[in-house]
Amino acid sequence: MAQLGVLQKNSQPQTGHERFAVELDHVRKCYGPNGEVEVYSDLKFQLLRGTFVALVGPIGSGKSTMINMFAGLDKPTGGTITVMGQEITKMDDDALAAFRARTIGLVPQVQTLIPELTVYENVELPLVFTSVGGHERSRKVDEALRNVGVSGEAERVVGTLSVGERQMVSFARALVNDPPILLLDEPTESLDPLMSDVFLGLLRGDNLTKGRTVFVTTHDRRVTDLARKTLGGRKKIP
Amino acid sequence: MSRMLGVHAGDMVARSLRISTATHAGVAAVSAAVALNAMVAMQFLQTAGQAVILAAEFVLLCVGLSAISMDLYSRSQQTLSNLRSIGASRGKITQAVVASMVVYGGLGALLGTAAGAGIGAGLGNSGTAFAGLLVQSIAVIVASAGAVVAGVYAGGWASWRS
Repeated sequence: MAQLGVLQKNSQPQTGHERFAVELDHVRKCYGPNGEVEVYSDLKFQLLRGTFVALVGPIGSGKSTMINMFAGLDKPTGGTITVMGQEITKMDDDALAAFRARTIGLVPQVQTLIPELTVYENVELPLVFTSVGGHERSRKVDEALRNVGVSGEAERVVGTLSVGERQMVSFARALVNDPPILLLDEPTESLDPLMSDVFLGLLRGDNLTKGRTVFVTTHDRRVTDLARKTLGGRKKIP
Repeated sequence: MSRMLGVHAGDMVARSLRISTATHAGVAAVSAAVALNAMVAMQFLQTAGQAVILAAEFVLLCVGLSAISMDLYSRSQQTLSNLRSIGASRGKITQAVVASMVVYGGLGALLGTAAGAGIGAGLGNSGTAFAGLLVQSIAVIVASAGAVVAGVYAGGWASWRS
């Protein structure tokens, strides 16, 4: 079984399954009415906690499927997925939603911000679902917005932001619950060079990624350069 | 985890689902119309007839609100999926929708009941004592509010199942 990534030098020594942020065991994923499109046939690997791993591969090779399965947004056809010691493949939808709110910060490839709400409200939403109290909520939202440099846009409605600005807000939203796992799906793909540099600067900064397990899918060489380990992609699925 | 959503949080979720002033107005109008008719009829019926009217009011409003709620969910599939991706449970989303609707449904029922009481009096119902009228009004308002809550929950439940 492949063990991807390495433990950080300053992390506590852990034994057994506690060392892993994500474990996939004989995972199979098929699409189509009769499961005729097989994305993964017998995937088996473990992702160590506290590492930064990049997955590269052509469009249509199943990278987003992998991220969605880690986040419990997509169920595997077979096999089990364990995230932070909990088998998410056994959870029902509501348990998964609650687990996701506490454990996973997700920046998806397609924007999922709510255009009718302000930047502040969008970043606040995940905290609403984990029942964080009002005062603590404002502190965390302010901190997340400050960390990604969008404090000045807090009262703007998301529908009026540029694609790059929205990506920053997505990043703030993913971080606001201080999740142990951060999943980024092609984070620089829709950004112009200037915004990409800002985003990469954030990923490079210790305060946002230190201690977290970061899993990123990308085509961007600059992102893979930041990762401790890069996984080669597979071919495009026919 | 099972804590109720606060007013601000519920409002944010409701706005995310595009529950607009028009939706609220529709809920209030439907609720008012049904309550008005029920209240007028109540004043001219005996106890058994009143019970039938209240039951009919409850069922009709429940069906109406369930349909509005299902329409709302079906129009907001992408938003629901986005909310789920950041940890929203079905329960919290449904709570927000119910909270957003029940205020306007209740307000509509209140206005409809008052109007119904006035129309009943205008149509010649001078026999009902004030206390009786008050009891009938409360019954109509409670049935309306209950129907709004039950209808929105039923619509949510049906939508989640599909």
